[in-house]
Amino acid sequence: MAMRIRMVRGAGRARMHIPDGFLSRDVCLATGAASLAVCALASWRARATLGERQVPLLGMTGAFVFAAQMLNFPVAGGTSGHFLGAALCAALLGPLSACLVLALVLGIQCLLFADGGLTALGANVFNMGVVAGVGGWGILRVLTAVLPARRGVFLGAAFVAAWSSVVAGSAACAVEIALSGTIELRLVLPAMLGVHALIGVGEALITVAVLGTVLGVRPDLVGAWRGPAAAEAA
Amino acid sequence: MHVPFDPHLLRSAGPLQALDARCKVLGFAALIVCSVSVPRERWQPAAAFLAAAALLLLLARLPWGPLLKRLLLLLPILAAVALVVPLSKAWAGADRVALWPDGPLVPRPALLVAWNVSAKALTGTVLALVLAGTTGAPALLDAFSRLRFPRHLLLIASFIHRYTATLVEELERMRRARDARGWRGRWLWHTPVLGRMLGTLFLRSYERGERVWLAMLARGWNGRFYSSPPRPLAPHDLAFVGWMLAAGLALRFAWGL
Repeated sequence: MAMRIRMVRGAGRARMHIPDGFLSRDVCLATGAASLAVCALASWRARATLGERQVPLLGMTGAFVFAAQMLNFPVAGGTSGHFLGAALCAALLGPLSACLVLALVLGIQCLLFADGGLTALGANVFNMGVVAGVGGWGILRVLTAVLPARRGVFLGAAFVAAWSSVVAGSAACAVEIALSGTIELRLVLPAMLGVHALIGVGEALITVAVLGTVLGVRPDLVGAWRGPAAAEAA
Repeated sequence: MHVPFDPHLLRSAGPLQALDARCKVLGFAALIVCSVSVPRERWQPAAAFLAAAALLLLLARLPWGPLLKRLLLLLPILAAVALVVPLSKAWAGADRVALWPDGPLVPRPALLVAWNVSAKALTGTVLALVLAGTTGAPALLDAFSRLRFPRHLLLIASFIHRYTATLVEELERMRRARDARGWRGRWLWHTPVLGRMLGTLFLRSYERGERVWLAMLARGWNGRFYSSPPRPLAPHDLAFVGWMLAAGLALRFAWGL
């Protein structure tokens, strides 16, 4: 789980995914297998259905998520969180493509930046791609199906989905660390949830603002939007 | 904002730089997996793997500045773990040892868990940094394509890698413009400003992607990146994989299963 708490303004960046050694073998294998299954499905779907034109869209979205993760937002006073982008990706690209893009971003961060352990890559992809990405998309999908297709309503649903995706991802991270016997659940879960409930608000505000901007200019790029503008653009 | 990209780390000197990228990926992966699989009841194997990682770091002859900066980022999370692990109820019956003469008493297994977690995180990070720092992104991506990683995924990955630095610079320009207009983000409700910045960045980068794509097609791109074929595998490349695997297994099992 990306966790970043900056105590002093101007102190160094500490974007952090789960490093090596935090998780037990079984947790690594289980999350790795789950992530691999979802990514294999997504990869197969991408090859079968996406035209080659989609390559720049997915690549650029990945580069955008990568760059956006370097932007930190204020949480309160001097502490700050950083943007994850899982729910945003899912709203723009759909669940499987989003999961694929997030997995590739995490893979690059792991291999080129030593950010997140190689053996914990499966768990990081599971938390951010599967739980936050696919889960966030599921919440958005349910909310948009139930609620009227209006811009404000859609953005409200995106707010809920983005906040829940961050909190769910951090909860998954806490459960993995606890299952590995590293830190007890009663200690790690409240800490992770407390920090990420706040970070999630920042995430949700950014997601809504980005989606609002994109909806205003290029509604055809927001895959999850089923409102009137999408029909016009089509 | 500074992009911690590998070109800053990469240097042509050192024996590791000359090795085949595929063999380096396999060798380093083997060593990392062996180091992580060490049981947490012992302290020696983790120390041995840390020493092995330090040895490879010395062989790599990477510049120390960026390296230390990157490793320092691990400190807060490791400190948090070291502080929290002993609080667990699981160690209630365990024997306690003093941290230093007359120091606080800490359950022994908790100390071992904290040590193993920290040492393995450090080992993994050092090894990944040595791999990236002695290989560089283009060679790594090429190595993965030669290891039969799906081509369309690699294509997306190389797009991500290529444009991240560009987008970060664009973001930096936007940030400078924002700060020049007197923005001071202190509280959560200042966040939508960043959201609008990122929305603009997304639109710009998407349109840039479309332009780049059309330009690539106009130049006759057929869905393949060509790179000059790597030199054929030499015996010392294969020997490196063998050595890394042997070292990993030896250190892993030297103190028993």
